[in-house]
Amino acid sequence: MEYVLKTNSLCKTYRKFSALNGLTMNVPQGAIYGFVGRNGAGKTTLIRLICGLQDPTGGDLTLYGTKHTDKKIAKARRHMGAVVETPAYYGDMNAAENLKMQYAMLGLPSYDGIDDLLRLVRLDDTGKKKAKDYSLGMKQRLGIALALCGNPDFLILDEPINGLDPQGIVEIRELILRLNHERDITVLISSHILDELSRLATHYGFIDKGKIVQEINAEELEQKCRKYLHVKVTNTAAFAHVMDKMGAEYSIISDTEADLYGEYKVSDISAALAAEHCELLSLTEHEESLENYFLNLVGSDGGDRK
Amino acid sequence: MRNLFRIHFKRFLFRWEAIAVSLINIFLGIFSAIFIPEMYTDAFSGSEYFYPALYLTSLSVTMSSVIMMESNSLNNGTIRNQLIAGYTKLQVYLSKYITDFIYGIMQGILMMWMLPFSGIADNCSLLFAVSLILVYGAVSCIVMTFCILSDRRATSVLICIACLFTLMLGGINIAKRLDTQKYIYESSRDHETVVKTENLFYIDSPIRDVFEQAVRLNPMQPIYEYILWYLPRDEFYYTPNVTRMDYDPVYNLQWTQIEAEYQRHIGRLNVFPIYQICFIVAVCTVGVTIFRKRDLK
Repeated sequence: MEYVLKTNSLCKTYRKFSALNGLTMNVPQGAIYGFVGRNGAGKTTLIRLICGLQDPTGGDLTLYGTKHTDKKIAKARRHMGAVVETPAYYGDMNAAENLKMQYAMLGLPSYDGIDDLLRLVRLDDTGKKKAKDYSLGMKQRLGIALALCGNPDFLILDEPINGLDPQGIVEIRELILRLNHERDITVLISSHILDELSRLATHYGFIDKGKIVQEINAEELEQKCRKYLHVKVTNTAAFAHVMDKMGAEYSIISDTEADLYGEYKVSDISAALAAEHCELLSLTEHEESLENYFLNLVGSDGGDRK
Repeated sequence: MRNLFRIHFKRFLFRWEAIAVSLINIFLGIFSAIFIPEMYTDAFSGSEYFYPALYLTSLSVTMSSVIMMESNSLNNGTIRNQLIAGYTKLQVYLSKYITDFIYGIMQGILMMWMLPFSGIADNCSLLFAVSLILVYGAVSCIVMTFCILSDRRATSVLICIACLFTLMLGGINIAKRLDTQKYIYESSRDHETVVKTENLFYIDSPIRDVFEQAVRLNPMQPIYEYILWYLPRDEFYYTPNVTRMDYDPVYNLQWTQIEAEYQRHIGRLNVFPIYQICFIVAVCTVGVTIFRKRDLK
């Protein structure tokens, strides 16, 4: 498998504070890599290192096979586009003028493709409106359009849906999926909005305290997100007694409710409870959310789920 | 890097701020060329300071425009796009530095191009005129360096302005110290003999040599030298009374010292451009070194 980005024990320290602590990750080509972590986990710091805004204090970073210490890294960065934190644009220019400026900076011979880009990000009807007067969603889309100038293979988006309304979130999501499917662009998205990321990402990297806790692809994550049965019974004490006999994993929620992990036949549970004079009132199947998965992951030492 | 230059020139030179400052400098240049020669008729009027005031006004306006335009370009984060696009920090810094330098030089030329037609400073050598224009370039470069290196823009700009004033006032004081003569001459009561006493305020080498270099290195020094040595004053000050030189030995010796001082200043004035360029290169080197190590957001 080819990797667009590889980091090996990457460290970044600001005076006495370690933002990244030996971070090792691999972004496969063609993936939508969801970079998940709490606020202050080190997501933006890593993105800054990838983009060359800052230099690592330890470890190494390889982009398209080129190490960050290599003089050719600047050339390798030409294959990527990024929106770091907030989109960077010239506020006194409209969308088309901003893109023309970006094209000129990249040394592209003509302005062909600007109209297509504007159509892609749905900014083709903004006319002469200055970028400083755009809504937040429009600014985000302009930032993505600027990142797409020069046809990059690798797109880095740092929390692109922050502050957007639901429609804006949907638009960005559809845009990212379109870019990945139609143009085969590898996308690295950092976010702490897990529900949204779960609709996009093909691979996940969970970061906490400057370290990757786990890297996993979407299929494996789906399997690992455990199914459980939410049961309502007349007596959870009796329920617990029965489950202990069966060797089942469970958690008591209240006097009448409990969650049962694993796969069991309803008839077996019902019969076992009946033997203890406990009635089964209701039973519903649930799947563990990405949110719970992440919270369990970073809440533990990181070694429980493998 | 050519593309970066193109971007910076376009963003810098065609902004309304740059156009407005250019028009102000053209106006100041024309105004000073037409009206100031009329004012230099009376050495006691103090009008010889009017042109320097206009020059300093023009310099301040130019400096302010650099601060405004650079702060804007740094606040909107577009410098990030340049790094992400594959340019190195060295390229980004150099392209901005050179653009600002050229902008400063342009403003200096717009302010001073009318001088040859005005009759002010007819004796001004071409090299010294270049150094006066280089002051604009040096100031633009210093201001740009402060803007790009500091997170606290307002504070850094105030520090920058304070540094430039310190350079100017410091340079004036050091030059005055250098001009202090080694001996004070007094005539005896009968005007027959000269009494020579050592001047206690005279600074001896090696400190004198250090001061001399400091004056040469100071990028603001041409302003003071211009006021002192190139602005026209009444002939009373610059032409010795030949008759008096015959009978007053003290006057004779004093004029000898003034002439020696004048020669020394003229000799120094012509090397200013070299030192100014060295200063500009040194600031660039320091700025690039710091900028490359900075963690950008």
